[in-house]
Amino acid sequence: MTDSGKAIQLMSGNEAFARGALEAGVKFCASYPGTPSTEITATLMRWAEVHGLHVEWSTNEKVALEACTGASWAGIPALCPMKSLGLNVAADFLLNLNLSGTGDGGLVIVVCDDPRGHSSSNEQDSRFYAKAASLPLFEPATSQQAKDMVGHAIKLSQRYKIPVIIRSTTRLSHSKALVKLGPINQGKWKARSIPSDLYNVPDPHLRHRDLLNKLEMIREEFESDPFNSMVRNEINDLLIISTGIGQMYVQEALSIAGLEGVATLGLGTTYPLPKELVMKALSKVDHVLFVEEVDPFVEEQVRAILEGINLRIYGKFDGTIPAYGEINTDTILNALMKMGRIWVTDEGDEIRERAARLLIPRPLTFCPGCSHRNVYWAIRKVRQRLGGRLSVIGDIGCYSLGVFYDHAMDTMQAMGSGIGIAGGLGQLSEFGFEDKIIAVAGDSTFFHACIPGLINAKHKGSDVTFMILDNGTTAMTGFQGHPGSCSQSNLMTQVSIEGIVKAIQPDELVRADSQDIPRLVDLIHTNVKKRGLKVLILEGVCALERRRAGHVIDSLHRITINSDSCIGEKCRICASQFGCPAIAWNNDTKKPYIIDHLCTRCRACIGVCPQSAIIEERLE
Amino acid sequence: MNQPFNILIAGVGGQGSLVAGNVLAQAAAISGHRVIIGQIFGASRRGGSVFTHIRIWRKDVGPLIPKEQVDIILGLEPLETLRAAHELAGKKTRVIMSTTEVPTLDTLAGTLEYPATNAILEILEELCELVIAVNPTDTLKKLSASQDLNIYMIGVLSATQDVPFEEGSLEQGICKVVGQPDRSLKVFNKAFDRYSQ
Repeated sequence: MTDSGKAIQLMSGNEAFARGALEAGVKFCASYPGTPSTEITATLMRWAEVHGLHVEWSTNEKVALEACTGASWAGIPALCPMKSLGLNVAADFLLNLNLSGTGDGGLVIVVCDDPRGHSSSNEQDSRFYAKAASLPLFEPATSQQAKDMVGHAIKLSQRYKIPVIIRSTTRLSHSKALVKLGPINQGKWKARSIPSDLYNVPDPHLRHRDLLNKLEMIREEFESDPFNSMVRNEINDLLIISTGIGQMYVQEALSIAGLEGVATLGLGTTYPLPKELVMKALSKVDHVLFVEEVDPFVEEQVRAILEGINLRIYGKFDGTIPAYGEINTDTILNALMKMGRIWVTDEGDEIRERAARLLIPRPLTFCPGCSHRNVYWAIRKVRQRLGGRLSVIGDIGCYSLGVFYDHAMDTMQAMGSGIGIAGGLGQLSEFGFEDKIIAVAGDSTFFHACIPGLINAKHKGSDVTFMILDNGTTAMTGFQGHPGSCSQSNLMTQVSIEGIVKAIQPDELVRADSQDIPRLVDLIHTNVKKRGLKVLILEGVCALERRRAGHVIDSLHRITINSDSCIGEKCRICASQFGCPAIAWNNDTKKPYIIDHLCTRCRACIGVCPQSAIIEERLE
Repeated sequence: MNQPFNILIAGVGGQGSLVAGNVLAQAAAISGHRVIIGQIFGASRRGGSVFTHIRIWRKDVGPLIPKEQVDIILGLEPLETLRAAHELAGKKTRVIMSTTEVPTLDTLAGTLEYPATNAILEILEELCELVIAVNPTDTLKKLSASQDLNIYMIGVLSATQDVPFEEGSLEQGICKVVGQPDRSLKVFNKAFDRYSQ
């Protein structure tokens, strides 16, 4: 990593946030991985040793924010990156910390939203947390701004002693653009004792009053903040107000539409709203269009101050721009069309319709050799044995793909919510609930949020089978370590999942291998039939992680299908139902075959074939 | 350039779309342009469609190519090329497509049929200005470089199209980005030489 003040580098928004932290003198970063935020912490982790940073993967976002607060109180500048849903986990603490305040070190939270839910189960607009907690909020438009805003925000936090939030979105976090680097802050920080009175009682309302006063002072600063830009041009009846990456889409849409003359106000500070700046921008126009992702956050604030002013407002309230999903340049062109500013003729629709008819979907699936597939296959068999009277309560991770695997997983909400929901369902027998309950969670999810739910299930005598799919890594987000991972670095200590579960004393605790499907089916079936709290820790492998770690595929053996014993069309179980990408169907021979270069030799499919036609062959 | 030059790479997770995007972006930066790569990555893309947007201009633009503004579709896979063209291609779009198919779960299982290459090419030709179909499988096999389909396609691109990359910048981009530059450069040159004539 170069330290030059002149160098220009191609950086993703997330790498730019990390670089900004380095330039701002951030020395402490704690975080839980989550797409699209993961690379901020991962990048800082690579630089940690050279630049003397503490960077950690914490057990969840609340713990991470609490750890960062400790650092800030002790005078160490701290950064806490997380995904949108992570802020829900940390919110309980955040809505107290805002009143108690941060320390001399300062504290910046980068929250990465995921409009359209590319890698999330919702598309929440986390900006409402800035409003709920009365905390200042920035929204960068480019990788350059992403870098520069971190330093700007940490200084604001240090001056006002409150956390400052920066909101990114997937497109900014993942896109790469050229960034002009600044010098790395080489300052040394010495931790000191924490300040006094770090609590809100007995008068939280007075703390609230003080916070609102700070917010008003910050509002005044935001009126002339360098990240807000007003461009007034010759078309004077329309103003477009946009935030974050939306500013880039607005510029391009106006250029395509030949409307470069329209006045624009790009806001980088969106809470508290720089009211005077906005009112001044609105004073000369009759129409205003709001462009922001996802909720009408700024639109709502502006509408609240427009009382009595005659202005035609276009945005999410009137449906000019949808209040759901991602936006892009075309969204704005569509809006300009609805507003009668441009006319577009649709051409080539007929060809596009024919193209659409030719297209087939490319569904996501478990990787070849993934042990999660084995578990869901086994669950499917157990469900058949129980005549369908089985509910599988899911959780968040790679294994969430179980919802696409013949609906093997029935539910999927928040981190750790599987065991919580299952604990409730497992107590409904007095109301006549008769289905058997399985809860499924991964190893990293177990540490993140499953432990209180599991204790509650034990304490209340809930009738649940809890399956922990343990592959030793946070696979979904790119193989981050967690407390249970086998290899621990930097003097960190392994914490055993089995040890924790034992201490909770379930009625049954079994460790098993999830590669052997026939045994897995019997094990799950036996335990589901028993009453009480049964915990199955199923050891699996992440084939991707193995490959990444340099694991070489066994070249002495190969898996093949014996075409004499295979009954082909009459069965098709391996090719059409098991769903391993390494098993294909040959339309000419009407038999399945193994795609050898994709096969990881996990041998799981051997137990799936009722004819025992799938065999392992030793190569000479 | 009086408007952004837009390249859309269409492929399947694992084919090297992101690496190809990085190579093109590095080459654009070396050539003195502003550039942005619009991409999404993560577990959700495993085995799924991947579109990478590379936008080259004299000033900064947003990461996503607007509809019908694509100059080049670099198709690493036929079905995904069709998907990309269906979404974003316009009259000015030129397509360079590898004809080697990556099956979907449904075509593997035999429950859906992979669309015929001819049918795909026919529609692409109607939608776009120009379509170049290439089959690099044998060449890549000979060079023991099956992972370098992405680099091969960049070679075809630079040989056949008027692109805003300075001489030598793509090679520099390759050296900066890929794991085995010697092998990749060999693939790049092979593709370039074959399609230059």
